[in-house]
Amino acid sequence: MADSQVEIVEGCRLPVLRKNQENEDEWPLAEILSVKEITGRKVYYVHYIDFNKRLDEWVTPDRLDLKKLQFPKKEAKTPTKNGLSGSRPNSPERDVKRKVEPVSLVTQVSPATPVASLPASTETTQASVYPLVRDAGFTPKSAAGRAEAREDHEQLATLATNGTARRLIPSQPGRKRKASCLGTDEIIKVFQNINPRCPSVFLPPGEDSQDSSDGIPSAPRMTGSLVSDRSHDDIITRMKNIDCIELGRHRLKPWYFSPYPQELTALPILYLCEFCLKYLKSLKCLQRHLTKCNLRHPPGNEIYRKGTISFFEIDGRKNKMYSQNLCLLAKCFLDHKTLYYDTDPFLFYVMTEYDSKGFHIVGYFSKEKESTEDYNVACILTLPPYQRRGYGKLLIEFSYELSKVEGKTGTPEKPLSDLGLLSYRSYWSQTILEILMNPKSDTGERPQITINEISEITSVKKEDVISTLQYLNLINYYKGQYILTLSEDIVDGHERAMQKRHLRIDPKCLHFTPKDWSKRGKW
Amino acid sequence: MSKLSFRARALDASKPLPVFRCEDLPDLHEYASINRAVPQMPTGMEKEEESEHHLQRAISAQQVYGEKRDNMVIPVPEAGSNIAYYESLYPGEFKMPKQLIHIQPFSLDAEQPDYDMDSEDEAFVNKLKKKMEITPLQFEEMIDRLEKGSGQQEAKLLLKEDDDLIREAYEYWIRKRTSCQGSSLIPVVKQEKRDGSSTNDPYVAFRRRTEKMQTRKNRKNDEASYEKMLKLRRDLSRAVTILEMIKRREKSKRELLHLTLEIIEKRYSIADFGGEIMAEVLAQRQLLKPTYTLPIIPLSNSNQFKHQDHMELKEYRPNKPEKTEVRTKRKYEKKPKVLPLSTAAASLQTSPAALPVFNAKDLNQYDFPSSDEESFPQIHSGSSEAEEENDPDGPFAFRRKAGCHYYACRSDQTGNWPWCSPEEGGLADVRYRYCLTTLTVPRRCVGFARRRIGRGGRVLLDRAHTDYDSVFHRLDPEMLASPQYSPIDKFASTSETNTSDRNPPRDLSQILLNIKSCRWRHFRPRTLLLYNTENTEVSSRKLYRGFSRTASAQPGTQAGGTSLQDRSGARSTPIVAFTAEQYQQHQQQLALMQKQQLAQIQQQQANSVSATNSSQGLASKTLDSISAQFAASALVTTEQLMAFKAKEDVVLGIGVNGILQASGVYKGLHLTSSSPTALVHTSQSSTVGSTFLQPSNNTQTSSSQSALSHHGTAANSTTQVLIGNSIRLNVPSSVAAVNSIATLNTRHIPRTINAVPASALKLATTTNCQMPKVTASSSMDIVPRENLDKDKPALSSIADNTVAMEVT
Repeated sequence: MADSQVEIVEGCRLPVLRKNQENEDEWPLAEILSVKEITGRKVYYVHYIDFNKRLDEWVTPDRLDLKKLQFPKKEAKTPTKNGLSGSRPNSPERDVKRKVEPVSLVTQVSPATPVASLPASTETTQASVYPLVRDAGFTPKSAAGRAEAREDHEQLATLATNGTARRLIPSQPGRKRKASCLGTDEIIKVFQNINPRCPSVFLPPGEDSQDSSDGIPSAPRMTGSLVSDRSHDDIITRMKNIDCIELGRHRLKPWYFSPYPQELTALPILYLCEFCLKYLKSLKCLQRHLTKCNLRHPPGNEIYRKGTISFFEIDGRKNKMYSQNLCLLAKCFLDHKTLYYDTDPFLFYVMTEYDSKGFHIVGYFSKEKESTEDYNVACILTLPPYQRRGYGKLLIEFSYELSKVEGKTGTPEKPLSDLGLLSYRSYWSQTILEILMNPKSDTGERPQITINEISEITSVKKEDVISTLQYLNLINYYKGQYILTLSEDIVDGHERAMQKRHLRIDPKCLHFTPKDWSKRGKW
Repeated sequence: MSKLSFRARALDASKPLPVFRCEDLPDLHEYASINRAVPQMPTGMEKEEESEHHLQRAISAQQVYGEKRDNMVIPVPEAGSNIAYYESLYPGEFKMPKQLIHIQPFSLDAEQPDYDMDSEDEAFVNKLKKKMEITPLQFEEMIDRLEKGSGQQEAKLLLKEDDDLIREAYEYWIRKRTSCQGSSLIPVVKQEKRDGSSTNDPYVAFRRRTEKMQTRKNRKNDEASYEKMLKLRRDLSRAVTILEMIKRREKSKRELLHLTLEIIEKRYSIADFGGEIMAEVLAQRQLLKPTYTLPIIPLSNSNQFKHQDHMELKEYRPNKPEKTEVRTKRKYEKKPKVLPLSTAAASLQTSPAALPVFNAKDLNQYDFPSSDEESFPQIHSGSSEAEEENDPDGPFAFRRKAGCHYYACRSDQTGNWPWCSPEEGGLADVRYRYCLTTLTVPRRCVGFARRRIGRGGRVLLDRAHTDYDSVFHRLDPEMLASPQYSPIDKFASTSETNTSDRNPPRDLSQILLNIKSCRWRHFRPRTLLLYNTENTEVSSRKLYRGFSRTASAQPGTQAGGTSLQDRSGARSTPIVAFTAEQYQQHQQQLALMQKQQLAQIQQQQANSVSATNSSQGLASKTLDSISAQFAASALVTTEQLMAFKAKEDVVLGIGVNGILQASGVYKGLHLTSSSPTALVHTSQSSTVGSTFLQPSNNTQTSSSQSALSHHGTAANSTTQVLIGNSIRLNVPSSVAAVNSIATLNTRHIPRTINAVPASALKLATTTNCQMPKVTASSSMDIVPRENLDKDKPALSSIADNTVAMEVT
């Protein structure tokens, strides 16, 4: 398909060929985020709509289905100009608050409902949403254009999954509203629920939207390590900038942008020292570096060792170089991680696996020395080569072991990523089911337990316990009271999962004394 | 059973929940129809991402199958492993220590260079190795130092290796550094910029955290309210400041009212019904302005005097209006700057009518300024003007003054200046004819020149070109029987223009002879010591001593050459400025003295102060003593000096010196030259300045020989005394004007200071007043240091007296 007739510009949407996990061809709708020319041939950076950003990639023109090309809507903000637009909208809460009236009145389809949702209803909602959303920029011409576009959508919707269909609505506000999975009433409730609980995750909308709309750059909040406010995003941070990272034995394909020195982003491979994580531009430099770097483990105190698994604690203030290097690496795989501020208020717990060459980094989590929000984890990452092997859960388990030593309940900083959510849910489910399956009913009576008790035993924050119980559908209302019921499926599933879970943290191997950082002055 | 629906209720976390197995509750499904769900908890994900296809698929797969299926996991970009060269890259083994690894903080910072050699560097090092000893580590060390030594020169210094190596490495580094447009050869994460411009740069990371208030947790609006409180506080403090300022303003207004009242009372008591005295005072106030605006800047050159005579005249004359003009800013805008020409005398004589002697408006504007305070700052304005840089003339640069009328030069008559030939209406005073002139510094004969008194009391030397200039220049100043040379005229500079001299002398010896035999006048700046020694010789005749007559001097030539000899330039101690406090102090001092003296006057002279002009004249004389004292003190310090206490006086005097003196001196010259000129002068000054009308009358009535300037200021001082210390005193101006007496004082003070302070001073100055002012003016620039030294003790004793008076 020649792209000579039509110019594909940023913001265009069209189906793009990609292989799924079964190595089958599929043509998900994608948005062009950037165009560049390599040796006279154009390549396009595409974001597959409704797919995670980590799958964004540079594609050649032959993978584009130009027949179904949609040009960017005039009134839609172009992604290049504004970080808010396109596939990375803001959190729906903020959006709802910003345009309170028109939005909140619309009944919405819940996208949270599982896959087999109805595309037809999606379309109708769209229609009802549109007029309300479009205000000033509504012209007859653009209306016509949209109508055509919608026809396209309908055609596409038949072959696309529900998620894709929903995403077809090109305008940002409309789509965002779609995205919020709750009805009006629920939204308000969510606000009441969420805000007191985790204020830092969902920033006070007023201030933030003001800041961004005024064009006055505002520094992000200084606590935490994650950004939920993407108003500082721009096209640069939406695109991966490092092609490949070589770390020890592994080559890693970064998922997200990371602020490594800009001159290094053009390199085909960025070399990292496996132990100090220093970034180097060439293999030669790495070789030279390794003659000088005698580290064979993360430069911190080993606070846990069992078998080949060790944990090292690194103070973000005392060991800035390593902490920064670690953060840069982690940013490649954590979308919401922010490196805006220094690493001083964080501790880094690096999990390593030992072999004859040394202690190899597997993953890490960071933790605020003092968290005002009961966070016991700021960022958490299993490096891709070690993923899906139980290390993530091990990291999570370790984080809760630390909380147990501290005598606190904790929760990970929000927002969670998709993988984070799955991992945590999995950990919570297994942890809670472990307790429920082995009830301590000494007296032979019906075992019973409070949520607070679960929380205390596991150090999992109460809200997370409830959400897990809900998710597992254990809470039932029976004869005037709430009960917890364990279905056979659940029990079987749990037992199977626990059999597969070899890696566990042994609290006896943990040598950790929590410090009262509040008495230490500055972090 | 109808479907019951209850409001979702939060789960009580402290309430025990019985745990059942589903198989134990066969009837559970019946109750499941009761929709009493616990409110859904948020997942903690961003909603947008939560709906992502792969996640939803994974979640639903989990719910369906109870566990993850391989094809249902969230896909991630693939990562390769098993780097072939890993073993070689990380050679050696690392044995796990038995104990947990414990690392000492900061022990990691081994002294290893941060720079890592790349292949390019390696090639270079290998090449270099053939010539000299270098290891890769050394090389890295060098580059590292160069990189971190920021500047190139500094970097060069940082290398401690032997020279060749340094140069090679340095050259290489420079090349590499310039070829890579990046900031550093050691890649580093972009740092934040101090100016905050990097707020949104995505490549800037790890910014420093600024201190921020810790708000209580779970109170997310705390921060907002904190900010609001901060803002409120800021606003309130601003309001307080404004109120404070209003308070000050109103106070000033009240003060002004009182002062005005006082002025009126005083005026009433001295019967100043016509407002003449007031006008004078106001005019004198005008003089104040520059006094604290003038930093003393050595005169570099003077563009304005390089023109021809009539041009100079033109520029020169505005000086007088500048000095005496009552501040009439508004008027200035209304009228064209150049008035129609007539003869100088005529225009000057008629101008009193044109220029109101006393502008009611000007008086009024000090009466009750409105809240906008528009007129107020004008009094103090101009202080910054003088500080303008790149102003070659410094404080002496010509500035158009608001409210002044500048007259065009008169082509028909260049003016009745003493140095003008009679044809031009001048006096052709012999002293201003072209004569041989020898400068003190540099000590050489400059040939023919004639002197003029320029603005600021500077003596201008108009040089005339003769064919014998070279001869003149070769003249040894010593040969010309000149008794003394003053070291003062350090900054004398000359610029030459061609003028034709009429009577060229024959040759050097003849010239010398002529000079020696006093056939030719020969002017040399003199020292006062001379005068001192010949103290008995009084009056203007002294002036002529330095000259020998020569027929060749041609006053009428249109010589444009000028030489400036500025007093200020001779000052060894640069005086920066003087503060308001000093000024205040000075005022108080003066007021005290004046009061006392007034009392004395009233006692000694039975005349009532308010009576007549003549009484004013008398009063002025007595007042002159003060001015004299100040002038003297000013003089002392101008010439350098020591710990003379009344510093502020000095400063004042100096400040005035530059500009204001001119007129005073000039008038003095007039007076002494001949009586007709005195008349002319009177008219001039009165017309120009409008306020000098009165003083000049005084001069005539008192029939004393005192200089006009004296009288002007004296009268002024009188009014001041009368007014008391309530208004801003014109001390500096009077000092300035009287400055011309400074040299007189040098003669008389030694005598006077020994006497009783106030009365003695008075006496001294009365004598002074009878001294011809010409002496002062001419000798002003030539005050020798020795003299001053003599005067110092005397002056300091005066100062002591002053202090004493203050105390009592």
